Formats: sequence, structure tokens, C-alpha cells
Amino acid sequence: MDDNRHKKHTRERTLFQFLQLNKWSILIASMAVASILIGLFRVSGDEVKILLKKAINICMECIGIG
Amino acid sequence: MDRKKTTTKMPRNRRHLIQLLGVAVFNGNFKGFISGEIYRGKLKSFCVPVLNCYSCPGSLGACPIGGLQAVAGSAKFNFSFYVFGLIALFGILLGRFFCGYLCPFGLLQDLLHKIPTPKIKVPAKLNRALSFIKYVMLVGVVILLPIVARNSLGMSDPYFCKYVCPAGTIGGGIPLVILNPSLRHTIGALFSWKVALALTILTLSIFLYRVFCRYLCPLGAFYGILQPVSFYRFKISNKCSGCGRCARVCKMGIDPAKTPNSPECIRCRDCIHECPTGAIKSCFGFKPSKEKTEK
Repeated sequence: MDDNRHKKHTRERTLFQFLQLNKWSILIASMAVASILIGLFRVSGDEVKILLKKAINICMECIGIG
Repeated sequence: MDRKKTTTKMPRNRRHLIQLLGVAVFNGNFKGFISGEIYRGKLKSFCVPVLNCYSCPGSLGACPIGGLQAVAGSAKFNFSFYVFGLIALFGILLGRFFCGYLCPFGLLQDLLHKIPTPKIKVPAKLNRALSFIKYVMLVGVVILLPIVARNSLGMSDPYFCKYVCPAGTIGGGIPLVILNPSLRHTIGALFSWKVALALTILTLSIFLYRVFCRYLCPLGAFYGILQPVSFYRFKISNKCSGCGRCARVCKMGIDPAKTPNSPECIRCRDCIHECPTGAIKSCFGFKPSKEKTEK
């Protein structure tokens, strides 16, 4: 019983240390996910629609013609 | 024990196989290379993590740099949270791993550099100065210019794609012009400029390793900014003897023993293969118990 509790405690401590050591990475990853969500839902998804519209048509500027 | 570990390392040439797989996956619309038409499905609303022009006949996803500029250049928005978030997520997870292992234009430069010719070694100071150009490309040309230089309709051109991007010319422009007779009649000075620039970059790549990735790529610059804090990282253990073999083998001009998570490192892992003591390791995230060994 004590052994199990000790293992659980060690696991929790390791997880806490991992989170503490990687706090900047976790913060940036969270901000990135938040940014994706904002983009997805901004003006009822128009941002993604603009991207899709551009990507499914030949971009004349991108290929050096437009 | 160390010797045993070195024998289990992934062979160096496996990287090129993964790169080829990346090219095939990101450009899986093979029939486009025959018909001259691009893929028009929903997958294109998702950005691939590499510089892969969405006007390439084979392309299945959107180019993140093209996407950033497309949204920023529209009349409705001047910044794309969606694309920015996606590339930030890619960058924070794996840093410039994408440059070394998945980028099709990176593979092309790698292969060109294998042509047996005398190679140029850029002095460290000049190399550092030139590597700042890619940050100017990212902030100035990709992010700010579409916001500032707008026409009367409130729209702007994708300046990087239009005037610089050699990946667009090689992957999109040239195949489409060859496959579509109607496009051939519309080419002009801009196309000539882009072909000339792409050929110059490709020629330079024969003599100088990954010239575009080192000095011009805005996506590499973005991933490079995040690399020091990305989850995927290299660390140097106290087994390092300071022999300098890693620095000598590094084609990007980095000393991995001093800066294992340099923004310039493309994670090709040549240093890991070269290290005689196995002191360079890759890991995912800072590990609590081994943190003391990291430099």
C-alpha cells in the first residue's frame, strides 16, 4: 500500500517537474492552439474559407505570372 | 555499452528516404502532374508544415507562408490567426525538424549539394550576418508588407511568393507552364525573374549547403525562433570529450556541443551519428532528472 502511494507521489512529482521545466513550451503550445481556435471561429470561419479559396485556385502570383 | 548504442542508430541515408516520403505525402495528387490541374479538395484548408506551394499540381495541402500572406492580403483580414497558430504549434513541437526531414525544397538542395564539386565554407561572421536575412523576410516581407502595402481595395499581393519563393517556381510555376499551353502565353518578366532567382539558388546549393534554408526561408526563421524552447531538443551529456567532430561535420555551420538547440540547426542528426562518445542525444521536452547534464 505504502509502496503504491510512494510510486504515485513520485509520478506526480515528476509530472510537476516536467510541467515546470517545460513551462514556456507549454505556454507557447497553448497559445498556438488558442490562435488556431480563434482563426477557425473568427467571423464564422471566413479565415479558413479565404485560405481554402486561395489554395484551390492556381495562384498566379505564386507561380510568377500574376 | 556506448558502442552498442551507436550501432543501433538510424542510418544516415534513412533521412533522405523520409524526405522522399514527405514529398510523396505532401504532393500526393500525382494525376495533377499529368493533367496540369491542381487538387481542389478540402484538405487544402490545412497547412502542411513545410514550404510546399499550393499551386504545385501534386500539392494536397496549403503552404503556410502562402496561407499567411493570402489571408493577410485579403480585404477582410490583415493577419491569419489560424495559419500562425498552426505553424507555431508545428514549431513548438518539433522546431526545425521539418526542415531537415520533411521539406521537399530542402531535399532538392540536399541532393544538389551531393554533386561532387568544391564546397564553399562561409566565414562564421558573414554566415551569421546573412542568416538574419530570413528574419527580415519573415517579419518584413511575409507579415508586415501585406499589411502596409495595400491597394485601393484594401488587398495586397503575396510579396514573398510573388517575388522570391523558389519553391513556388520549381514546384508550381514551371510544371504548370509546361503542362498548360494557355499559361505559356501569359509568362513575362516576372516569371523570368523568378526562374532566374530559383536557378541561382539551386546553383548556389551545389556549392553551399542549403543556401535558401540558411539565408532566405521565412518558415525556417519562424521554426528557428521557437527551436530553443521547442519540445524536441538535443542535449549534451557530460560524456562530451570536446573533440569538435560534431562542429566539423555540421553543414549548417553550428557547434552542437555549444549550442545544441541553435535556431540554425535543421535537426539532420549528423552530429549525433558523428559523436564518438554518444554525448549528443535527442529528447522530447526537458527531462526532470537529467536536466543537470544539459548545457
